[in-house]
Amino acid sequence: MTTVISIENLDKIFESRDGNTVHALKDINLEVEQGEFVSLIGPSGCGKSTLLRLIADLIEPTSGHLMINGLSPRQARLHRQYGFIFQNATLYEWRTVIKNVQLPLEVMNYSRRERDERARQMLELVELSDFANHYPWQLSGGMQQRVSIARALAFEPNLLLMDEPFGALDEMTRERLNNELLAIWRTISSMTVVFVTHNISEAVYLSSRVVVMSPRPGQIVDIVDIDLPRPRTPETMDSDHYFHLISQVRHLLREAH
Amino acid sequence: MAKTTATPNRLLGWLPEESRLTLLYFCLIIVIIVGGWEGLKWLGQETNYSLNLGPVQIGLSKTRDLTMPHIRDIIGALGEPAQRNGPPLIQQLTEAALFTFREAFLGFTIGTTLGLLLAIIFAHSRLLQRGLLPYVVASQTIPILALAPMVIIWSDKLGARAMGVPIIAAYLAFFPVVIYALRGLSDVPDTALELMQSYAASRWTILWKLRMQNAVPYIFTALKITAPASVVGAVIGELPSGIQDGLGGQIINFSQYYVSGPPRLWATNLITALLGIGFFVAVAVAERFVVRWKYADTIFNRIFVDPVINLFVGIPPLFTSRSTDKKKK
Amino acid sequence: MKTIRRFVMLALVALLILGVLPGAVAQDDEPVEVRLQLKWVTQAQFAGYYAALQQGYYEEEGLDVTIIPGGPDISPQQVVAAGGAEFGIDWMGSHLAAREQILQGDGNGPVNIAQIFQRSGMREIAFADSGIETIEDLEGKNVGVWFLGNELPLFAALVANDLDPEDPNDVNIIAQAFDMVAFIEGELDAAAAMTYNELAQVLEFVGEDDEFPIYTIEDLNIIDLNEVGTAMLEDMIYANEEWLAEEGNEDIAVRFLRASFRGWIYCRDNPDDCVNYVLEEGSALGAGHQTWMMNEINKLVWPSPNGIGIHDPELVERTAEIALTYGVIEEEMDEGAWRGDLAQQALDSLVELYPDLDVTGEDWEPAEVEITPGGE
Repeated sequence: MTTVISIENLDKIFESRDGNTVHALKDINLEVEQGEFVSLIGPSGCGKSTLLRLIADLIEPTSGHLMINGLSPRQARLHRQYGFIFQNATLYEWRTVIKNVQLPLEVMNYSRRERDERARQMLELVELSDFANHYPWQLSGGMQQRVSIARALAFEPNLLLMDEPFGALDEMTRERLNNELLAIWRTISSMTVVFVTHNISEAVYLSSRVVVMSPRPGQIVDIVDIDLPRPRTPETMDSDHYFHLISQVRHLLREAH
Repeated sequence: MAKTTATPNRLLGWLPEESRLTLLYFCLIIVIIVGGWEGLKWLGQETNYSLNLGPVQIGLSKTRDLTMPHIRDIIGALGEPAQRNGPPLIQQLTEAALFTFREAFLGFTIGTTLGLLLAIIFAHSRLLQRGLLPYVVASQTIPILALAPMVIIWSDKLGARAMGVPIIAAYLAFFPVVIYALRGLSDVPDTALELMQSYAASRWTILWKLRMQNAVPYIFTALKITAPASVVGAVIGELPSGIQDGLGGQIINFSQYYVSGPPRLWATNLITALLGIGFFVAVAVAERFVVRWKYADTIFNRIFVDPVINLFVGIPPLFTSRSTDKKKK
Repeated sequence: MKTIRRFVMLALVALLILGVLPGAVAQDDEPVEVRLQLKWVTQAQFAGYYAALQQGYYEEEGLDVTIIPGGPDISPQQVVAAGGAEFGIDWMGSHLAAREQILQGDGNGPVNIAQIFQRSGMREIAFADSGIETIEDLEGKNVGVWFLGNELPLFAALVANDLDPEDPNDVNIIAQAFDMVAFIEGELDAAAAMTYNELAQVLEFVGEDDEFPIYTIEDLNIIDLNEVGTAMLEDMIYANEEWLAEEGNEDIAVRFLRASFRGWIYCRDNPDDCVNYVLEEGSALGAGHQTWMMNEINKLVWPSPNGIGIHDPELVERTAEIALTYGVIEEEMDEGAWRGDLAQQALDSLVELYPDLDVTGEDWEPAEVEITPGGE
């Protein structure tokens, strides 16, 4: 087992313009192994998204240590080691679906042939091949998010960072996408996923570990091992152990408040 | 789509309902303008009516043929030669319009390029934006009439006499482009930008693949303002440069000899307006092709229907909301 | 080896000589480029210059002349001062004002070098039924004038008749547009009109349902400011002092004047040709109106008692006096404002070259030009 993410004593303090400071994250320690599916869960303001952005080097830590595959977050980003998925699909409206999937490949100077091949492969993976030449506004919210997953996977990063990707979708769609995500993850078994959510059942259903966080300042309360058998299917949700784990996470969240 | 209009129009049946409605409004407005014009004339001629608007009193005798020629006379003047044995006025004005359009188009191109460059510079340097943008704004408060003669003399001294008018047109044209393009370049959603950062994209890539693309609809909005403005700029520029081949020269001439043929000046104004509208429509058609994602539709519509609507109905709605587009699908 | 090298050298030198010499020779023959800035757009008012161009008179003098039409917002004085043209056409009054301003600004002033129009074409006209026949009759009337210096001849005439143009109780002065709509509509009892332009426009006026003529010359009372004695000099040719001072430029000026004089003489004798030259330049102009204008312009140029282009010092002085009285200029006209020597030189050499040429037009008779509807 190799460590993909290692976080030690990480602190993040935001300073607003009027001089107020917000202690967003305090003394975070976390290790994520290769091939893990780790969820960060907590109420709003607990810093779960901030933690994800620190990993992605979209913001910089105030103090502490953070390594991605033995590199600093900056180096990891420059080496294009992760794919990031936002809550909104963040598709470029002027690009067709397939062109959106090709975007990272263009930026990373893949050959035209490879761009085309990979994009088609990815669209097949998310079952959107028929919509390759549609524009984003012609797609439903769930379809848009699938395109964004295809886009993130197109350049085969070994780390996938997801920031409440299904938060804006209805329950039915969310469930479908959860299953699809698991299916994809299964095919790329070496891929590590860090998944931010505020939905307890989603976190439990997907993850190998759930990191429970508390707000003001954002801290890790506990880490729950999810030892549900894989592959997980809708039947998994009927098991007693599943309910047990959910209530365990819920209790932790309540205590943390 | 359900047909709600009571009159199924076979002739225009192939047009989407929305466009048929636009066509109807367009015709209606023409009828109102023509009717209003002729009605006012009729009132003034048949009676000695005078409008009392508080302190302002407007004698309707002003509506005589000298100040307000009949619309049929204005249209008729286009068919007759303005000069003995000369070509019909419409031909003379078409040639002048083409001449002015060349100047306007050159100015439009220069102004757009300059505006884009400034916007790109401003979008990348807050310092330069703060320092220079006020001057860009101030430049538009100088009356073009005061500036035009100077530009003409300078460009003549620099040995580029022919560039004087296009420069004046460009001066009017570049401002909306700066403002709208800057907005478009900066108004990029945070996540769209972070996505690029996550790919470790260079500034240049972000400019080209994100900011510029995002700015395209904004720029087209600016160009739709700029196109008629550059025609105005070219006409104004012709006045102090002594250029008599364009519409500006025709306007001077027909206003000087206004008494000799009032409909001719009105006809010239009409052609000038049509030139501006035509330029606008051309930009609007170009927009349909460039900003495809907004008007995504069948190729057939893009090639045949939209331009037809644009050309015959004139002005497409400036701000089409995304929601109506979605409904179309 | 050596011979080859020498041969190459020789060939090079020969090439150089052959290449440079024709250029050097040609330089003397090459026509001098000069530009003429008109006061207004192309029309028969400037026919003489177009005739000189079309008849090749300028070319004969070794001049390559470009005629730059004027227009609204264009100050010919500004153009010439900025070096945008070598010669300009302007009225004497605005010339004096521009000169004073440019001299105060440390610049080098424009100089009137030839007085083409010997008399003024400005009139004040009224409809015959208004009873206005003299300046005195303008008392208590709505009187239109063009401002920017063009109002002065009338103001001087009013003052001479004890009417104060500043006092609306004496006479109600109204700024007039450059068309005659207000006059025809009856808003003005009297209006300023140039014989060659606005006067004809009134006569050319077509009424409702194409009725024509509405007004004939008998329907108008015309007050001639030349007769009143307050007219100011109009079209004259000017150039820049500094430019004239450069070596060889006085000679260019004389050549330019000589050719221009010939152009005006040509237009006196062949007015129809000149109308056509003008119409070719300005496609929008009405032929009937330009024919009328050509005839009226000839009346302003001819006869030229001392020969075409020669200043009448008395009229120059009077123009300057009126300009001074009404504050167009603040100080008396300086000596450099005009000079007659170049015109005289041009005229003398013209007579020498063509002894039979009539340069005064003593016996010239104006034509009778028919008014056409709308000036077409």
